[in-house]
Order: sequence, then C-alpha cells, then structure tokens
Amino acid sequence: MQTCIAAFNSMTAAIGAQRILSAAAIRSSVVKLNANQTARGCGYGLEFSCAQRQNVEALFVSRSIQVSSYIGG
Amino acid sequence: MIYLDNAATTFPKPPAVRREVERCLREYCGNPGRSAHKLSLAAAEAVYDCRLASAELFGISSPERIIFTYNTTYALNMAIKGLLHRGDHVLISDMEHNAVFRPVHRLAALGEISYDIFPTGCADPPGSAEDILLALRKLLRHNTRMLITAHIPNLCSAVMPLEVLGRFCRENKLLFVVDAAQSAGIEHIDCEKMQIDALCVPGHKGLYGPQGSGILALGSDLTMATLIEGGSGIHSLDPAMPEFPPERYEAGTLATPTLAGLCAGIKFVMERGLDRIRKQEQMLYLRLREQLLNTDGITVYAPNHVGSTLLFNLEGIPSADAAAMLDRHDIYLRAGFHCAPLGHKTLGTGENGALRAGFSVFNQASDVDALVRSLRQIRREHGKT
Repeated sequence: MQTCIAAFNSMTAAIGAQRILSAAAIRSSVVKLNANQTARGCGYGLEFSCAQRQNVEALFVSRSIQVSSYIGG
Repeated sequence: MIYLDNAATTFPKPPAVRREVERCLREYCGNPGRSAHKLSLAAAEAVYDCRLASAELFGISSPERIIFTYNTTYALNMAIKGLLHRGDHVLISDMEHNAVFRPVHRLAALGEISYDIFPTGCADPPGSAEDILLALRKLLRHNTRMLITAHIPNLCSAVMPLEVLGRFCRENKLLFVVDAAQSAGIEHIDCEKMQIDALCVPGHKGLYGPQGSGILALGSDLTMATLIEGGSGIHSLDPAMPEFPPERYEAGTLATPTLAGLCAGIKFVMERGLDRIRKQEQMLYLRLREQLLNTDGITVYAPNHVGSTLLFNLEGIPSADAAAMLDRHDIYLRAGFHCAPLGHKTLGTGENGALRAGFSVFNQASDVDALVRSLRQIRREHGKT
C-alpha cells in the first residue's frame, strides 16, 4: 500500500485531524516527520493510504483543517 | 472533618479524577507532543481529550484555542502581559483578585500602561448592569484597550453580566479578559456568545481537577506575545516559538497526569450539570446565610448575592483567630484577605479581613449546621453570646 502524509503545524492539529479521519472510517497514524519532510525540524503528520488522498483532502477542506503540506501520492 | 475552603481548592475530588490520575501515571504517562511512539501518543491523546472537554464546556469552537497553564494566575498573566502594549489603558473591577491587580499594577508602576478601577456594585445594595456600564463609559479613554473582570469575585457570590460587558467591549474595541476562578464549573460560560477574548480558569476549583491545572481559553483568533519560551515539540530548528496555538504558549512538558485528572473533573461536572451544581451550592448558601443573620454579633457581607461563597465576621474576634478556633473543631475555612485587597475594601470588611465559607458538591446541609453550632459555641466561649 502506497502511503501519503498530511503534515501539520502541531501535534494538537495532527491528533484533531486524525479524529476527523477516524470518524469518517479512514485509517491513519500520527508520524514524526523526517528532516526531508520538514525543514523546520520536529514536525508531525498523518500517514494514510494514498488511495484515500482525494477523500482526505476533501474532508479537511470541508472541516477547515489547515494542512501545511501533502507528501507522497 | 468539614471542608468549606472550596473557593480556594475543592476537596475531596471525585473518585473518577483520582482514578484517572493514577491510571495515567501507571499506564500512559509518556511525554505528550514530543514523539510518535505509543506512550507519547497516548499522553498526547489524553491532553487532547482535555482540550476537547474544555472547549465544549466554555463554548470554544476550536480545541487548539485551549491553552493549558498551571492555574488561573498564570493564565491571567499570560493574557495581560501577552496582549497589552506600551501606552495602553486598562479597566479592572473593584473586586479583582491580586492575580489581576498585581500584574496590572506592576505594568503601571513600570510606566508601561495605566489603569482605572470600575465599581461592580457588589456591596449592598447590589448595583445593576446599567450602573456598571455608566461607570465604564465615564472611565473610557482613547487608549483603553482591555477590560478585565472576575465573573464571580472570590469574596462574594455576585455574578457579573458577561454578555453585557462583552457587548460593551466589542462596541468600544476593547479586549475582554475574564477571571473565571470562582465561576467555572458553576455558571454557564460561552466565550464566543459572551464575546470573551481570554477566559482564565482554574482546574482545581469548580472543575474538580488536581492542583497545577489551569486553562487560558481564547475566544477569538488572537496572537499573544509569549510569556515564556522553550521546547514545544514542534519546529525545533526555529529559534522562535511556533506561530500557532496551543503549542506557541505551552513551552516545556505539560503535566499529563494533572490534565488527565482535569479532564475527568470536567466530565464529572458536565455529567452532573451546572444547573444542579449551582442550585445545590445556593441551597447551602441560603441555609448558612439565614442562620448567620439570625445569630447576634455576626456580619454577613453582600448577602443579597446568593451563590457558592459567603463572607462573614464574628464581632470582636479577628478572622484568623476565628479560623484557628474552627480548625480545632475540624472545620476548615479561609480567613484574612484572600489575596483580594480591592474586594475587601469594596465590601468594607476592615483591618482583620473576614472568614470565607465556600461550598462544593460534596458539602451537605449538616456541614452548614455544624459550622453554625461551632460559631455559636466560639462566641459563647468568648463571652459574646
């Protein structure tokens, strides 16, 4: 399964976003971003199946969730 | 033992609070927001649960605008020092705790800001919301930027008209800061409806959480200057704090067991219901007030404001002495000035301050009756029948 990551500005934002995905039956995991995924050091993201990327993006837009960037897919 | 010092700290705590603190320490007390391993994430989830519960209780649409602090004093200092600028003028009420008065006074002493004190009408006869507005309009200046008030002062049970004051602040482009030390968990508070910019809340009083827990709830998308800086678990290569709440304002490791307990306390309050809690404490207040007013040589302050806190004095016995005598009866109240010299002056308690009885949901009518019996005995023993 190819995985994508939605990067967030904080752990709080990542957990909040994960709960929104969970309520929509989309599985995701909170991951710590690597140096090549965040230039500012120590970031968090949600890893999910790239097959769900469109659904995830649409869900976050509809709930006004700010994603700093999408990685992969 | 009869504990009536609940306006300082509620005791005992609900069993669910004690259980959750212990469970956190035993099962999931990793460092929240610092890693993505299971224990760290479990702690971060518990912290997030507490943000969600707090946001729901205080009418905040985004849990990210719930900032955890150590207590109300810390939250008030963050709001006051983080939002005010040099040259600003501030309005504070005549019932404010030192948690407001001292930081405002210090900024004024440094020449950074100026302030005025507005009357709340807490002393008898009670003033109206219109009286408060009239006073506020007279004190407004071109540079007035903030209004700070206790929702309920810590010396009496007056409830300030937050919706009216919130509207006044919006009309006059003022920041509205509310000290909810005595009202959180008792009165309904909706930050967005009441147009509160910064709500400062203790975890260890009416929310029945452990000491060391407090909340600064931002009712709007304000950006404050930070009070302290340090590790936030995010953007560690940046020399500056992150731009976004809550991490921007939460430098250093959060007290996860304390917040887990606070979350259980908030759930306890929400399940029981604010209306039920308030009615129970008002019933105790009325029972105590009636008996004290029918006892010679006892002064009750601001008795027309019925709520959770009752301030009184025994004629001829300094309040600290009376509290020590009650302690020998295993009845615990707080005496003195309660860190609120402005309020004591407003209520006219005099040079020895006063005794304060504060109720919680764990008090019974029998506690009130025992207090009154002891007070009457103390008066007899001092030849003041």
